[in-house]
Amino acid sequence: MTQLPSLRERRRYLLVRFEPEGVSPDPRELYAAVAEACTALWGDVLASEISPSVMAWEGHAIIRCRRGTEDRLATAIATITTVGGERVAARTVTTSGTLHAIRSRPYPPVELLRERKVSVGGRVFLARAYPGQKVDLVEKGIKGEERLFFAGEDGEVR
Amino acid sequence: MPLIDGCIHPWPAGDSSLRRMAIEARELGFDQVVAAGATGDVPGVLRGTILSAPSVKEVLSQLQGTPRGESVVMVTSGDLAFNRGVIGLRGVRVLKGIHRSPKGAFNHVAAREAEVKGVALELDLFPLVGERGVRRQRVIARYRELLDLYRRYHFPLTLASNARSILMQRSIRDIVLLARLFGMEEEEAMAALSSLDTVLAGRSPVQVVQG
Repeated sequence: MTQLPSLRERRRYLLVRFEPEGVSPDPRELYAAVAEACTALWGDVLASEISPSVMAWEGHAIIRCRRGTEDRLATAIATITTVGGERVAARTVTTSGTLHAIRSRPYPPVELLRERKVSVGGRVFLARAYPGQKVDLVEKGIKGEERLFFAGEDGEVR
Repeated sequence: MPLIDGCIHPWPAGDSSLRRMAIEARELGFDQVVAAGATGDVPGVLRGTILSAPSVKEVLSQLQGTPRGESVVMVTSGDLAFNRGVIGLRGVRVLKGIHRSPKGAFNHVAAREAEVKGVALELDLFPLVGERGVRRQRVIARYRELLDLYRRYHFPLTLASNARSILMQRSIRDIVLLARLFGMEEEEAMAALSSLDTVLAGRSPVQVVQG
């Protein structure tokens, strides 16, 4: 049954950026991480009030909540450290009242400038350079990926 | 007043280099960071030295080996007697790791002494982000008690991410929200983020001006 617009629940949308650059979590795993963070921090009652939902993944996440609970959701998002077993940082960039408004804000994806192999401490890493002198070192092993975060001016990656 | 992240731990203690953490801190809204064990000159980075010892005497001997005024000297807290002793030492700027100390390790007497000596108490935000369940609840409860003392005695308070990775650094907005978990208002959080500047300048937050 459709509801009158005036009777519909008011929502808020958070644009959340994820680090490291290039990370692309599965939306289901992202939802699980957000729900876990909300429940662990605020408990079941307040988490149900927040009612978080991952609306889209467009290089960044758009996460929906009930109006008035956006600060609680942003706090819970700040406590997310892993998504699907991968270490990430989730940073809330902005909050908006409509999906249209949040999508209309220009938020271009960070482009990869170059990739090359470097050796740090006898280990070989794939160095991915991003704008702002950021260089992520990725070592792929049997047990998964290890990442180190350096800057272009650091001697190790020059 | 510059906004300062009270402590970070760059490579090799963590997985991110000092320069990278400084870049990240700038993007997250900080003017400066205190980097434990940092060497070399990086803009926006204050060098930090963490002293950990079981007795005040040993802290004093470690302090004598630390060049004066070159770095922010932080001491890992212990029990009440230790903390009071350390607060009285010249050169100590910050008392850190208070959430790991026994209950009552920082009471009204220590609070008054910290206010007089201008020694800041660091509230570590790492457990609020990295811990879950009872451990996090204990830290929040502890910080709430310390906040009550702060509101009564006005000793310097700092907030630190204690990040070992850029992935654990948090923005000013996130830190204000996290500080709200233990009842800290936004103005108090902003004051705590900038209090280290006053502590390092060695001046009281209240200055008497004769007219």
